[in-house]
Amino acid sequence: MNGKPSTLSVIWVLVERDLRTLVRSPFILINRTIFFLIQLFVFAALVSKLATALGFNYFDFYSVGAVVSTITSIAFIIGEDLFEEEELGLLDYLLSLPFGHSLFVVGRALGGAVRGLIYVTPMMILVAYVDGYFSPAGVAASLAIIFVLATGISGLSITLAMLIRNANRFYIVIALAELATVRVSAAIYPLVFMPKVLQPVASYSPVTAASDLVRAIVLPGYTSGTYETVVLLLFVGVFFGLGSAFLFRKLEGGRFE
Amino acid sequence: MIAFKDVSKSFNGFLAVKDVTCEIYDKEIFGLLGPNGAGKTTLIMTMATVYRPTKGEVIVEGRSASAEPDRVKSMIGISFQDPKYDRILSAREILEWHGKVTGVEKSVRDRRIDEVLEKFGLTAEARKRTWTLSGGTKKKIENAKVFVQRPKIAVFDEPTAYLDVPSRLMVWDMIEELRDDGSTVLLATNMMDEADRMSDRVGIMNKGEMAQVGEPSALKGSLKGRDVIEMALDVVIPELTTEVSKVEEVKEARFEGSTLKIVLSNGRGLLPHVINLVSAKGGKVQSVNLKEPSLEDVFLYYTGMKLS
Amino acid sequence: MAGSSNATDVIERDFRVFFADKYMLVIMFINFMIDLGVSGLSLGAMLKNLPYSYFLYIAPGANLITATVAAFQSGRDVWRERIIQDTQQYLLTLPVPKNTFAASRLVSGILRSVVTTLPGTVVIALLYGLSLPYFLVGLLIMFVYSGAVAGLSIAAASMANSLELFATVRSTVQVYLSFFSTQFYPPGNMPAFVAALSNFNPMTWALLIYRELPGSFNGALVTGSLDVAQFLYLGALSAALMLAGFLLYRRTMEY
Repeated sequence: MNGKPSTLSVIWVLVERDLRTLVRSPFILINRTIFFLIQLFVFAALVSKLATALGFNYFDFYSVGAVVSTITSIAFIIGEDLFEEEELGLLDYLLSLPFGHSLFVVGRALGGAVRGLIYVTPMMILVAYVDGYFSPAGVAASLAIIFVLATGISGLSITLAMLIRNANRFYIVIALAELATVRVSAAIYPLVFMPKVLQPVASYSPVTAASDLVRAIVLPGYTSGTYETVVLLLFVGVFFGLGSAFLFRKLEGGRFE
Repeated sequence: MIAFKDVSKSFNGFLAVKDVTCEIYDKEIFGLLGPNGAGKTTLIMTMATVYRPTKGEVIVEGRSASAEPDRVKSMIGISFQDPKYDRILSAREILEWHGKVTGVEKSVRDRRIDEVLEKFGLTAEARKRTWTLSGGTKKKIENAKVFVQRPKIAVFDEPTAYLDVPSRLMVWDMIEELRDDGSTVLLATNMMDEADRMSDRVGIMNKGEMAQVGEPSALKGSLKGRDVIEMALDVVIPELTTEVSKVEEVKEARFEGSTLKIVLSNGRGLLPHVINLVSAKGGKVQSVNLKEPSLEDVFLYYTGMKLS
Repeated sequence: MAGSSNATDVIERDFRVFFADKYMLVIMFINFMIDLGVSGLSLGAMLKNLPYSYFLYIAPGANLITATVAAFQSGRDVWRERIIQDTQQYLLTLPVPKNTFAASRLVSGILRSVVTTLPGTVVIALLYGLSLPYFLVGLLIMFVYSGAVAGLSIAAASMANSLELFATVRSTVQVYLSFFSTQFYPPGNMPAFVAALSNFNPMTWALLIYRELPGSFNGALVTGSLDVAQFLYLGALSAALMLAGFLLYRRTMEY
């Protein structure tokens, strides 16, 4: 008779499974790296040439936001993976394995986040270098912040995958969620330039919190406080919880459509 | 008539169908038997003009599938092994669209859809998205496409997979009705009882080749020395085995306990003679069991393997 | 066998599948409004130093991006039919001539995209203050642009046998359309290699024509450089991409 696996070993097994897909998808890795470089050295460079009267370096501002928005985008993929697994009948198998469903959500969210972290580490290092920041400890701290964000985003993505039963609608909603998460935040533009009605909403965004925290580390003249940290941690907690709750609902309420 | 003339089909060097020559006559139910991977579906797809034969030709009602694919396709309707339709649509939408695109007139189409849904007990579920339905129900909808279309050539690939017994019987009746109405039916299956019951003729495929074609009874009859008579006697009479073995068509005779087991040809014809032999030796027959070769035995014989 | 009724049957199916979700149009419109109302307004507020409204400059691009997403669904449908659901086998057994079938998929891709972006096209027309004839020109641009993207997506779907490859091509196309075009920056601002790539981008040409349409509110964008050649160029580019999509899709069929 086999023994029950420990919590940590279950989490590692789940994370490892998601990392395998990273290794098996070199196209996507290369692709996202190139896109990031295009975002930075084409879009940001050209828009910052237009933004000469801002009073701050838009390229530096955007560069941090680009890393944060890239990991956000990558972390959303875990929900798509779950949806596809359900379509292929794999999810039933995974949920029949000898560990709790909450642990399953934790493992998958972490897997999505670790994947994202591996993707963006070179990007973060490049951005730090381009922005003239050379402290390894600071870069490591920035990556830790981005990792926490990615965990929450993965949880959000899993929640959506559990909640939405319709395949066509799911892919569109995920794209919408990704768009809203990044656009209604200070990743691409400072809050002060956003429509006034959205500024309070964006100020509570975990993407704003992560972007501001990293800018405070990497860029001179930027500050952040406890508020951003609290927002980020609350976001992660909520979406881990919701992801689990909706997974149970899915199990009781029927299959994906 | 459908004629496969020396048809082969390969995919990236793998020969899925090899040199198949076979005819399917008008208005017959032709059972295409074979295990998974035998090449049944590939052969069907060459007829349906989805695959182009690597070699050979498929002639359907006098028209070459290669030269006139659109004309050939217009005569064929297929119920696939795995249901192939858009799961986001409802059963009624799927059947309406299929009827429309295959040229069934609206009034006829609506009537047929209602009839088929009612026969399958799906009227209440007709407007539900099909991805919410069970596997058996999805299969019924797949079959229903062909029953609505009523094509000249109807192909059913494992039509009763996932179905319960009443539904299987229903589908069999509907297929026979289709044949009686003038369609030629190609029934691909690896269920022996289905092939035996339904088919006017059977083709046995294995590893891409057509091993044998014929009527089920003729194929069974072709297996000499495969009948088995099991005769329970009141007492063992050892010399009986020698006496029975002298009969020309007997292959083997032996006692298993007090049961005399005889392997022979023409078991049905020789049974009275064997009973007389037993009586002549003073034995009393308590029960008799005659086993004739089944289609499974036929398949095993011609292919040297068992079906799953 | 009536060819035109076969074509409408195929188009009908694509519409049914795409709009089976009654919220699809709403969700796509929300996507557009976020792009326009959040990013557009924010970037516009940020770049107030320009001699024209940056918000109005990038506004049509938001609708074209929605058209890109909608038109790319055609490729996604084709890919899923081929690789995941294997529905393509069933579709190919139907009495629809293969050329008609392939062409109809392109047409349905265009129509779905135009229908999806119609609310956005109306919004842009209102923002620009376009009269009805110029609104119709804007609609024509959406038709032609959608053809280019539908063709590109079906071409990609016909060549990609793996999800990774298809997803990669899809995102490459979307990045190319957005960043190697005049969606965010004028051509004079671009380094030579970006300008060169931008010239072959249907987004660039669609935007160029759109921004030149004489409306009540976009006067600062109009330079008077609009001519027929630009329409022809966009049309030719679109036709070339549609032909590529058609031919590559046909190549997936053995007959």
